[in-house]
Amino acid sequence: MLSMKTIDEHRETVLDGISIAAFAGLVLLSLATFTDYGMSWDETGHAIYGDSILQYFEAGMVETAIPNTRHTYGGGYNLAAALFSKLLPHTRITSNHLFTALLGLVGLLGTWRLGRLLGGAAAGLLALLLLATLPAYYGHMFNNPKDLPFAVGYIWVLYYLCRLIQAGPRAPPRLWIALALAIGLGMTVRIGGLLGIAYLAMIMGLQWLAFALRERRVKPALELAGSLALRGVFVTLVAWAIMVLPWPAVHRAPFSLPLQALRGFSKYHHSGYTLFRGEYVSAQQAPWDYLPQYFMVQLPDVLLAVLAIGLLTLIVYLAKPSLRGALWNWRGACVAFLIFAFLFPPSYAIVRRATIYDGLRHFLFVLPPLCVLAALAASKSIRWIAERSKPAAYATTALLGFGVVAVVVEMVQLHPYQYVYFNRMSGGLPAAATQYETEYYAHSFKEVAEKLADRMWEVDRERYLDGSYTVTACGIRDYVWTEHLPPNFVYKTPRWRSERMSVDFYSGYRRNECVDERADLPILLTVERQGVALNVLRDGRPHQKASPGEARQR
Amino acid sequence: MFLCLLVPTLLYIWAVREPPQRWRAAYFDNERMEGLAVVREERDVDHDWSRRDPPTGIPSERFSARWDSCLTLDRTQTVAFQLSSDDGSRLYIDGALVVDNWDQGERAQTRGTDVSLETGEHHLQVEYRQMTGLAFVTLAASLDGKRPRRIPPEHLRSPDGDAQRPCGDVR
Repeated sequence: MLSMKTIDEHRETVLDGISIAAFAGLVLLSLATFTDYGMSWDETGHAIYGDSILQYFEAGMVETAIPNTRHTYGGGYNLAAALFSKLLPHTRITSNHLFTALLGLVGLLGTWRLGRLLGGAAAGLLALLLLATLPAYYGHMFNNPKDLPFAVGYIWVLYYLCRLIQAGPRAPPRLWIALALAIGLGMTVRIGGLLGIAYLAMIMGLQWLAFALRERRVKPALELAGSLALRGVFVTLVAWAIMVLPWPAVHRAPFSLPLQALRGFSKYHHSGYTLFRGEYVSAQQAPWDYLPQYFMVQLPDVLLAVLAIGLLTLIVYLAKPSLRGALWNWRGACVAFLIFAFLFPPSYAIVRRATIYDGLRHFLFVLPPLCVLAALAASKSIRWIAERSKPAAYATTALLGFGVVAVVVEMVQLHPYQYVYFNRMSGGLPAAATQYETEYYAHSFKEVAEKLADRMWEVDRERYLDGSYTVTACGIRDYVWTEHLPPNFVYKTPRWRSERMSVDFYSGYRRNECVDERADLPILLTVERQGVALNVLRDGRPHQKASPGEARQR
Repeated sequence: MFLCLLVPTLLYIWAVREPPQRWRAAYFDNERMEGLAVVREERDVDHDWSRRDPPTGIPSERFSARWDSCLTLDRTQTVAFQLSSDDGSRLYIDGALVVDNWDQGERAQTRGTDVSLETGEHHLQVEYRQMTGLAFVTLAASLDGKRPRRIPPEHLRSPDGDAQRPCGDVR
């Protein structure tokens, strides 16, 4: 007869196998679909920055070759993406999409490992699945050159910090090195990765405090303080070096200039407006509940349900003295730390009244730890139910699976715009279209370009072959569209947004109501998902008039 | 888990890394296609020199280039050719000028035409000259009735004949 230990080991092996299979499937899916994704308006600048950094190193790091663009960002991601593009025959932007997708997969891997560390194979698998089916994460996984790489760095920092909590203050050297690398890689995307060092200081401080209170002797406490301080300095210096090396703009003053960039980011100014509950509000004066509300409407229903159960479980554990003890170990400390790592950044932004726009985009990095917390709650709950009733546990698992599959179905419907997902509780994308930011990143211009070119070839072959068309768009730079348009479409840049240019085709996406601009012109085609127009192309050629009722888009 | 990520990625990079280079390119350091040329093999005629510099030794303004390749057709058909450029460009097929975009001035222009071609090999030659300002050239063709795109490499072969007969039996 098999012992309980053997059964548990077997179960863990099977679940790990499923995790590996699921992850391999995600890798293949990413490789098969990365060319479907359009360019976001953030990408070109970052690609140019990466190429400039590469040129700077090729030129022998001379000061005259320091890039004059995006100098407030560390250049690790950009340089790596520039080098990666050399391996592929694709366009620079398409190569970037694969590179960013691979990074996103590394983020999924970090989330799986953290879930597994804290809750075993079941929690690892659930964390992986919950993040992979989180449209806000997956939808940014191909064409977000800032927030997504930062989220990847963040989850690996949290993973190694939890390993540090597990190992205690006498953690082996390789763990400190891995932690330094993870923090450095986070900082090289954004100077805000310094948060990792702040977390490290906090954890080391608490570890020291716990030791000092337990030992109640001065000498060992002082020895530990010295040892921790040395390790902290080592991690900070290594991470700092990783951040500074690919960041040419700070080579002149590698300590003061990054801090100057940090101060600049903390006072980040964006004069635009953002759609919130049906009204455009200033990004600098967004209501306090802007972020909480976006979390409520953009996280899948199944994730919210699991988080609610997790919160309830935590309250029960904290309320019952008999259960409270179960939290008093390194795993409990990690869970507390992850809750903090999820809550602190958005709370700080709310309290500081930071500039906020584009929904959750700037806070993608708190989503992986949130999925780990949800996975821990779900696996714990299912195990608790299984101890009482096996059929009930199977039913709960099936319900959870159904919830995940329902999200996958919607992600397929939205492909390749998964990031415009809104949960069923909020009414989904159709209800959100006029209430919240949806297609704000301009991904849809790729599909517009391809549809327009196909249509003109079909109906206007002679001019298509031996002539050209003029195009313009609302609220974007020319490269967002021309990247995907054939060269016989000539982009005309408006001098100001509402300039009524005389062009053949006018396109608008959902940001800043661009979709409704030039409503006097008839609609030639739309990019639509779940009945919502993400991008509308209007026909400005002579003798084309809008028919009543087709001018405005939901 | 890392292997799950690494192996398919490396296989993908290996599979796409070196696409066939079936265009012979010759770059000249003047706009008249005169003198010694920088010669190399290229994947297609699709260049935007505002994004990357011309080959080493070629200035970014006032230069010219010539590409040629052998197009193989397994049936007689009409092929739509389209040439976009800034500045001038022109396309010859089997020595005959079919798309003339040469004297359009210093602005972007697209020209194209349908050409009836018989089964077998045909010599394609594109000439380009850049004066100042924007610099790009793109050759597209429709072999399947769909809108013109880059010519698939399986239809092309690097020229291996002499100057008179670059594709062997073809003129």
